[in-house]
Amino acid sequence: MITTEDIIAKLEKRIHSFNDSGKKLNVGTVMKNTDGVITADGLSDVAMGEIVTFENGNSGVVLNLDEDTVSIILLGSQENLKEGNRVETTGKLLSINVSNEYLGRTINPLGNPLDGKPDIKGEKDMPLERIAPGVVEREPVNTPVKTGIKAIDAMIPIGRGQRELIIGDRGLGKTAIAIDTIINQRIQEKGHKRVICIYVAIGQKRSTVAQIVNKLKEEKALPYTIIVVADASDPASFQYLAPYAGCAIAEYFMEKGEDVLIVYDDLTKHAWAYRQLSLVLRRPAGREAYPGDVFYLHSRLLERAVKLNKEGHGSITALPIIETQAGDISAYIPTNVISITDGQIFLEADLFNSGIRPAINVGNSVSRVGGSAQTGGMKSVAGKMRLELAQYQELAAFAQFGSELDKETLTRLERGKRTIEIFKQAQYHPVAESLQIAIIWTVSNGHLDDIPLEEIQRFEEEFSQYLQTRHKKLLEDLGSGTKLTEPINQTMEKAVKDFKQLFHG
Amino acid sequence: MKQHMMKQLIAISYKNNKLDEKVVFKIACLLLRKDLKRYVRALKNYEKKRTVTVSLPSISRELIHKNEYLLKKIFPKKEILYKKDPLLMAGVRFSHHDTIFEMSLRNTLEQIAAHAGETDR
Repeated sequence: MITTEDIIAKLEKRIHSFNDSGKKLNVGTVMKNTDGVITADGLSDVAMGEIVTFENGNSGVVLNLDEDTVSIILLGSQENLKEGNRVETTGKLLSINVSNEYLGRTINPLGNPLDGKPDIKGEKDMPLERIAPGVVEREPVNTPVKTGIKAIDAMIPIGRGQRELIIGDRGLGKTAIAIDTIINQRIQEKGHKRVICIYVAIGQKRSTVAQIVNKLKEEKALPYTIIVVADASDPASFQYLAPYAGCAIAEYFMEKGEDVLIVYDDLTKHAWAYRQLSLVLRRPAGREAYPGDVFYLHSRLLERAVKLNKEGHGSITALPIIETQAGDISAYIPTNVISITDGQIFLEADLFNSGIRPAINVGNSVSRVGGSAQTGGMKSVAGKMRLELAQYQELAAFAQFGSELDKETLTRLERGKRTIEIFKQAQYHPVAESLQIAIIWTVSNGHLDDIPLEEIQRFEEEFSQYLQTRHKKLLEDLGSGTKLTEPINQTMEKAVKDFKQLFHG
Repeated sequence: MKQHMMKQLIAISYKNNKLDEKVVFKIACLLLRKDLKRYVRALKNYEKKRTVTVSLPSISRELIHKNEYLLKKIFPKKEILYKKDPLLMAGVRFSHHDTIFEMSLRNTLEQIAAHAGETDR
């Protein structure tokens, strides 16, 4: 129990450590306000990225230092701000006060709650802008982030610490892939740490964000997720800061040894917001009116995704999203982000319209480092299947011109169709890795060749149920992460044959 | 008007370290509205740079006399102005251009509160 003497001793100790050094202020005067960008004179000691406060209580961040003036982006309302108002420096760089209490909350880029719940008590100030960890602190990607999406986990695997771009036109399911990945993290795999998820919504409609929050709540994914929102009605400054705020929160958890998954939805709108700010700041405009440092804008953000090598330290996996126009991945921002990331998942409108969902174009999608994070079991089935799929796509293109095909070609074409069929997956229905391996093994070994194409979906569904009820041990073996051994292959063979009898019967 | 020309105008507006009203009036009559605004702002800034304002809770001739030598030493070639500010509890504030130094009881109390808040965290 704390006694009065203890309290007095503690207070005395605190007072002893207090240093009264007087107060030094650097002040300036508001000259003009152009669309939320304030030009002020004075402030000769201000630093780039420093927070300043205005007479009306608002704050801003310094973004330009000129000879006689500074340009400040406002972090709040422009109301009551007049020419001649006083601006003061604070000596603090823009940061967010983070704690564990952020989990399950919806916040704005300054850390203020937007979900109507009580204020969040912070624990540590994390700077929004920070230099990414160096080469010495990093280690190669070696642990998987399981998305629960068969096509991704099998062919474009993602590892912890990787940056995998999700790219495609509007309405093709880019956000759906990200949300499915977040939902799938509620299953904590044996031997792996939990994954904390951060979803950063940039320039989206409030209704869309509300839908996502509700879906995450419904799927019990909210307790391990933080949602950072700078919606379409927020000023460009908020939309510009949102991904950096999300990354600062991710770094807080990473420093505590946690693995974090961060989704930036989407960086196209982030680039638009930065373009708007840059034009108002009168920075020279380059290609498509973007400023010259638009590459650096995204590279410095995505470089902060990392797998730390220190014992017990965590990782940040980034899933940036880019929206293309009419499938043009060679536009300015898409090519920039493609070159920064460690691979991309490319969604195609033609595939989406032909009923293949998720509409992933396997040919244009790649994961440059994820292969080393893939588990042994998945590797042993996915390698063969990917090759077969590539052969199918080549043959299918040729088969369009020829009428007579030999038996082997026909078999390959039929198997290819079935492989594509098993990659179709409903939204918000992530599949466990063991079941993914089982179904891919089944199709690769030709056990689905005699099943009619329209029956494949039903087969897969019932086969999964069958395995979950009658072959729990087999599923455990498949999901153990080790390579498929001969006894496992034999058990699989037997299980498939038994089930096919039931299915046909 | 370019920045260096504005600086020249400011320089010729002062004679013997004092603002020459006649010159200022002449310049003001010749300038366009936009440049005039810049000129006035530049004059204000220059004035701020060459003066140091000392704010005190109460001003007495004795106090000014006592500290004059010290202040001239700290702020050489600057004009020193004294201003009464009763809100400054047992303290003093020096304002020079865009920098303010303040030492007062109120400031100390605010700093103690901030310090206690930091250590509480």
